[in-house]
Amino acid sequence: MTPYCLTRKLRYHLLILFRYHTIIILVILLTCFDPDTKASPSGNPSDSNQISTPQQAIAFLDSLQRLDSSKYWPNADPVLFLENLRVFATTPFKFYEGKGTNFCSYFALTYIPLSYDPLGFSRFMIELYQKGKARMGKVVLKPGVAVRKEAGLLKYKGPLDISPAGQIWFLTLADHFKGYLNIFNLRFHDGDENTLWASTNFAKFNRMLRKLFPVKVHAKGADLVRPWVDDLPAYLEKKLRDGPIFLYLNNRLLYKKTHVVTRFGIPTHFVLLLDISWSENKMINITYWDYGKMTLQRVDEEFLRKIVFGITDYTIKKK
Amino acid sequence: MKSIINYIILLSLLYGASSCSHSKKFTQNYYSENEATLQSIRSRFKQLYDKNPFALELHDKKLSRIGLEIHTDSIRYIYDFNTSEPYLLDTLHKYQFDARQMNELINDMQKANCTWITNLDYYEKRQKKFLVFISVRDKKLNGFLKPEKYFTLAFFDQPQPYDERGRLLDSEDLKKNRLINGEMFRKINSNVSYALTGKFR
Repeated sequence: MTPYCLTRKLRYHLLILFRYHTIIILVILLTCFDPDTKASPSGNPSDSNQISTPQQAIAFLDSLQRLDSSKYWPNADPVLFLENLRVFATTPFKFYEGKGTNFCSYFALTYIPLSYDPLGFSRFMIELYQKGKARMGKVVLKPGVAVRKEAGLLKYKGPLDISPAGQIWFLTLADHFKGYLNIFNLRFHDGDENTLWASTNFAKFNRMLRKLFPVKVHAKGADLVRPWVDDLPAYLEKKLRDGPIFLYLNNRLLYKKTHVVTRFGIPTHFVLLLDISWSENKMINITYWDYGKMTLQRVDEEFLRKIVFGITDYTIKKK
Repeated sequence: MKSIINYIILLSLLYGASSCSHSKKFTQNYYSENEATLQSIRSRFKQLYDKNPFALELHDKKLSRIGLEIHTDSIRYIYDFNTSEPYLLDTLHKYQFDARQMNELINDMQKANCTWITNLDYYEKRQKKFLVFISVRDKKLNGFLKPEKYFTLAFFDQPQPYDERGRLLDSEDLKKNRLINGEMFRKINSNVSYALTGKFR
């Protein structure tokens, strides 16, 4: 390579850098670069990482017999609350995020405590109900008055209407964790479960995982830029060998809601990916968990590439 | 220059006024003109749904691409077909749908420009209830430079409360308006409400 070529190439790169500096800075800001996000060679958790069992959680809840009304959560019925916790412990996949809410990220990450430590989750929820605050992982969650009054009153959200425990959990997380999307709506008001107040960007999601659970998180992707992976189905398949992973998706494409074709897609939805497999006619079957159900959707590779903006896998840390 | 700006403002005002009156007229007439078809779609959907819970979407502008969501107890399957593809029939047979009834439902939906039909669950006094939710995409609502609009209908099994302006109320708290998918609905009759929305589902 001649010095002339080098100079030309350097000038070309500088030109690109100058032209697109705003985008580059934005991408760096939005991307979740964290020294703690290196992939662990041991991969994701398996059953050996189970901290407690559903039976232990049920035994604990049964030992309480009954729960008195809480002054911290005046609208959350204690009988229904306790019943909800039993259902969460025994059938975690029936957990529901509510129609039209922005709770999908909180819903997706709930897979971790319900799968690996249902007893720990039950204990945390009971303490939160009785004392108005409780510690989970590295954080003490102490929701504000507006949120505490609202829990139990959310309506027309499907099964979330009859789940005061689910409402308490989601509202508490949304109240505590904030990202740049929440800057313009930091305080809870009526109906904010559907607004930017409850929304989650990719970095916030990964931060929540690290703060709440004993996990090592490995994240790939960003809010506006798709992950740089050559063969996305193969990459996802490889990651899934060690357990479920989280995906940050463009919901406008996943669940089409208008006939308008938009070229600029942004991700707004978190799901837990459970399985991926090739089907006939070069189609791919993806199985994911969202809206309280497991969903199997048949998509083509191009569509999959278009919708995936973030991939997060995790490893349970051994004590 | 000033006259050009005035001209643009006048055109915009005329356009805005015409589009508003268009929507209002549309909602007044559409249901009465298509009531029989819409009720037929609803009853056929309910018959099929009782055997196999599902939701149906016609998601392209020509209404020829179908999104079929089949709900079982444990899993929800989402398929995408072209109406002319043989896979649609194969799938209907696989999940033991009445293929003839389903085809009639699809044909009726295409005729009435329905883009989405589903059963929405909701809770009143902790009791689970359902309403049938239908969206219509009509050319009269969607013109050049107009934002996309859908005529969405909610069919309830029981009569619903409305305020004096015809807005749907929360049956457990008559001081509050009831929103469906985040939208305010208005009265067509005691069991049917409508809204003009930017999304069909």
